[in-house]
Amino acid sequence: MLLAAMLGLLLRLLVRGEYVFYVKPSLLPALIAAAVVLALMTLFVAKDAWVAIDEGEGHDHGDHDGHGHNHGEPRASLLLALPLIVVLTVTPAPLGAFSAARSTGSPAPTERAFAPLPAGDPVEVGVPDFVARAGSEQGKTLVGREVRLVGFVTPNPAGAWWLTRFVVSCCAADATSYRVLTRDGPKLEADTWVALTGHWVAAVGTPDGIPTLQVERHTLTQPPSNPYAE
Amino acid sequence: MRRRPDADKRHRARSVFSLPLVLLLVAVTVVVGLRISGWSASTGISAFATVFLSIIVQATPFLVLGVLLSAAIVAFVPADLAQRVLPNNRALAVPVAGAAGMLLPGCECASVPVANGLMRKGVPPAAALTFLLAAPAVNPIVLASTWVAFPDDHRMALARLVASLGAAMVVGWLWIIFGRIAWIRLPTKTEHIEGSRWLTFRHGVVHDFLHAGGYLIIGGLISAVINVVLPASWVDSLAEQVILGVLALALLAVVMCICSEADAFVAASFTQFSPTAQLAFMVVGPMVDLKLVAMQAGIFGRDFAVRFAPTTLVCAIIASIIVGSVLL
Repeated sequence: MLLAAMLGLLLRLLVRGEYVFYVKPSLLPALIAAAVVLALMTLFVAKDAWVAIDEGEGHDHGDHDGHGHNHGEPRASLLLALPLIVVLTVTPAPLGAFSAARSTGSPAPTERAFAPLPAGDPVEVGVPDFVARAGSEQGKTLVGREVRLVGFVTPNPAGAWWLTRFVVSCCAADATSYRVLTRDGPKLEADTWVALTGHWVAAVGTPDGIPTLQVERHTLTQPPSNPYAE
Repeated sequence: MRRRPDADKRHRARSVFSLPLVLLLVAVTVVVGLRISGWSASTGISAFATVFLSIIVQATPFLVLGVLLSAAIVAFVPADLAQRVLPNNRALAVPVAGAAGMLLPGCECASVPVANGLMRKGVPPAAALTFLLAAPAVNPIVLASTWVAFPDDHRMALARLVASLGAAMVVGWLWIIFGRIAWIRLPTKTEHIEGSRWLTFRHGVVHDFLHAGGYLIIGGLISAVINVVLPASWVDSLAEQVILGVLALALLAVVMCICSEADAFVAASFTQFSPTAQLAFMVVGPMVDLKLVAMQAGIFGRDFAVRFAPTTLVCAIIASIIVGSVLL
């Protein structure tokens, strides 16, 4: 019932909404379709097995030592149980500080023109958007604005921690991290989700494409429904 | 003739019920053990689990699509269709197959079982292999995402199309010259099952999914381990070197196992590398990566995979360098 193991994996991730830790939310219809196909395949295999048992009573010995291991399921297919085992043993979680600390850091921002941020301070800005704006046109769309950023804590061996967010283009294996260096932020544990309100520090510039945020206030938050930024 | 399917069924019935029981016991033991030792809190394990599962979860719908298409080709497409559509000349059939790759809107996980289905339907291996390599790289969805990922340089999408098609066709022609059919293990069993086409289709789907799926897991496992043990930042130091940069990103594409529909965005984020190196990342990834090689070993056999994957890798890198230096 290795098909059922894969089906179980998909159902668990779909029912509990944990699939967003692994793939983009837009893959949902494809995952549901795959689960339906796997369910039908499981039913057919189970039915065949049932029929075979019914008919096979008393003939079992003839087949027992049949050296016939090259037909039926291949050995490797046993591994299809592994994803389900992993999901049951290791609590599902999105990528966090461990991966962020080991990733290359934000890609170097490319210069481009940004529309001004919406009126009203503090204004909600995504971490990748903040990084890109800070690196373009001397960060003019951030000057004089109070911003609110949501992300998780990645410890920095060399000083203040980074507020971090991953961007995923297809699945978590291709995640890129974006980070903002905090100044005067609260002391927080790695992987804590937090909303920071503050100002972009223009003077520091963006070494390695990492801008600095002067933290004024902070609120601990729940992880967002999609842990990866758009 | 009726004996064989029955024997098959009995064998299947036995393996269905005994092995999973063992696995279930192992799983329960591991679950209880890990919960007690609090291992799940360890962030390295957690990162490994997330990367591993994301590769598997991302690939599953496309693998399902692939095995459905493959089984449908075997069960429902008339046996002589391939001979009627493809040119009789094998060397000419290769570019036709490459161009046909543009029609399959999927990624590489789907194309392995589909190529298998084509071969079993009588398509010459050279043409089927060219299709296998070209389809995930040159289909409209992938080219569109490449176009979007490189907004400042649309030549990148063209370069990807040319280099991928070129490499795929060269591998096809190399197969005609050097390839031996004995290297390919083609399961023909399902075609002999007596009964309806529907039954053939059902058996094909299950069989292909179990074969390719199991090996997909091996590829995903290795890739996730490398991801956690050796972070992608190791390539950064090579960015300045022209040739080493190309080789580094080609190697990274092999171990990262990214879906071809997404790899353009990742390639675009390697801004410190030369455009040719970025191109190599996108040409190699859909043709040779750990999960693909594992699936090829599962579907076509190990003899095939150990020859095919290195040949393809070399062709893909050379094609990237040539096209990159001319176009980019």
